[in-house]
Amino acid sequence: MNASPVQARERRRYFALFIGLFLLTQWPFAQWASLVHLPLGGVPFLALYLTAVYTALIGLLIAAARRNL
Amino acid sequence: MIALAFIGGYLIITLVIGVVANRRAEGTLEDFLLYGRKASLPLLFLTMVATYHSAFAFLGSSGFFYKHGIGFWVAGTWTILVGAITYTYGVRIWRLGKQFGYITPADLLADAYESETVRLLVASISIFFSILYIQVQAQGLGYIISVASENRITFEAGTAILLTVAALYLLMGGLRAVYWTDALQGVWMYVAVWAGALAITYHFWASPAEMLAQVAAVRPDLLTVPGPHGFFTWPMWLGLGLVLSFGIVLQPHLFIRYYTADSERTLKWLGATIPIYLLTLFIPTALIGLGGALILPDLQVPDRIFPELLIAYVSPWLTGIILAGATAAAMSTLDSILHANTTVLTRDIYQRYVRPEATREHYIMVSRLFVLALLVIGYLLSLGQSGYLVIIVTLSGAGALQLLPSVTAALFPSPFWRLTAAGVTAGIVAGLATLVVTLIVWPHPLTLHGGVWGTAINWIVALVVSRWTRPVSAATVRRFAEALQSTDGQG
Repeated sequence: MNASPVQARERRRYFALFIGLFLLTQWPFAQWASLVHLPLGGVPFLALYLTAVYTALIGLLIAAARRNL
Repeated sequence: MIALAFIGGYLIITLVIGVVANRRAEGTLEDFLLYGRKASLPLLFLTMVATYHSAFAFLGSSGFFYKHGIGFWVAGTWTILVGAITYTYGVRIWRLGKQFGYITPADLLADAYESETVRLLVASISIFFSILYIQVQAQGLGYIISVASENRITFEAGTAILLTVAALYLLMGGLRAVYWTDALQGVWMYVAVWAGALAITYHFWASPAEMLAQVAAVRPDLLTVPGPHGFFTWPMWLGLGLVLSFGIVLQPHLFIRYYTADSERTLKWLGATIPIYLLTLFIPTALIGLGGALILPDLQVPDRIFPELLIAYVSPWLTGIILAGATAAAMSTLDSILHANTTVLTRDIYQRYVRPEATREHYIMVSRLFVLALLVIGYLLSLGQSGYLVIIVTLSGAGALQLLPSVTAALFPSPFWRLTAAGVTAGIVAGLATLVVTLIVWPHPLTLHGGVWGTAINWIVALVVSRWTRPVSAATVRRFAEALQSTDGQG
């Protein structure tokens, strides 16, 4: 049995969001983040930036699994 | 010597697990090779993470942070991709495996493209490139043993002992023993690498943040991209992301794990949660590598930074526990590679072409003989040492990545990339030839990883040749389309 149109639409939306967020982990953004110097307790901004995006991506995967998409 | 005692104790535990697994075995080939397709989420989670993370995670990644700096946090990119691949590709591989009784990657692709040539080609790639991984694990084990014994046990002897133990519990309990020992190893290695990193960091600094602040003051080049040696350019970033995600997952020892899940939901949750472990293991290795660059700045072999720091600055008891964890990281991958290669040889070669009608007891006996043969090959490979574990890992990943076009077209049928047996074969051959050029003759042209060049050429050749060669029969196309529909109506 095929997925319903609602499920298919929701899955496409999650997929597009994943791709969009994933692009933020790529080199141009990482290089920009590595050049940002903010006083964040000694932790490099690049590490914080990438960790935030990775966390969002994992959250998205968990949300998809919860909805059984 | 305390460290060595801990490693010895750990090895005894794994052998006991092998004996228990042997007693619980059901005696069927599917149980020996695929855990009877009954692996639950916790077990599959631990065996996947323990198998994915190997000696490379303990030794290679801290070595990479040490030499190339924070850019290695790109490691998170490929761990996220492994989750997404499991969620999408893994679920579909599971559906097909359950429906058609597949055991190996070649089973799936030979059926999808109605070709024995594809079977032999895929089986050969599966074995050749994953066997390179044995060298990585054996080297890691050799380092660990020689450091733990303060060079009283030679690299060769240590490797032989650990290879033998891995083969022994595999012989006794098949994939059940591998999964159970992996569960132990997965927990142990995670705790160990965090404990080691924090012990070293707090030995020298008040906190990880203070250590990073000192790195910023003394070695600011380690905190920027592309890093001190200009390694992390954008093409390399992209290449490593692909090679160490698809390239690892498509190797048989991980691919086969998708067949073993007890349900589709298990695989979806596995995909959603597996990056958490895979990703957070690189945080302590970053502390070790970056901190190590300040403590021991002139190390000749970067991959040795973690054990060198442990031996020099951490108590022998904790060092023992941590080095046993490093041993677990290497052995959990090694046993899985031995098992996967055994499965491919038994299923794709022996059962198919040598003795198609033998009993299941005969096949189990033959697979045990293959384990012994691979043990010898693994040992011989381990004698050829290399200083850079990451390089070997990416080489084996680049080879396995050549299965990406054929696997993608089989799992996600589309008129845009409908491939034929001839197209798949030509694509793989062209991809491998490109790998030879872009990894050996002219390494990473335009700084784009050779694996990406190989895969791109592979896709193009496969698509072009498929346009003019005999397509897969309509019956097989329909059969796959139906099987790929979800068992729970989720399409």
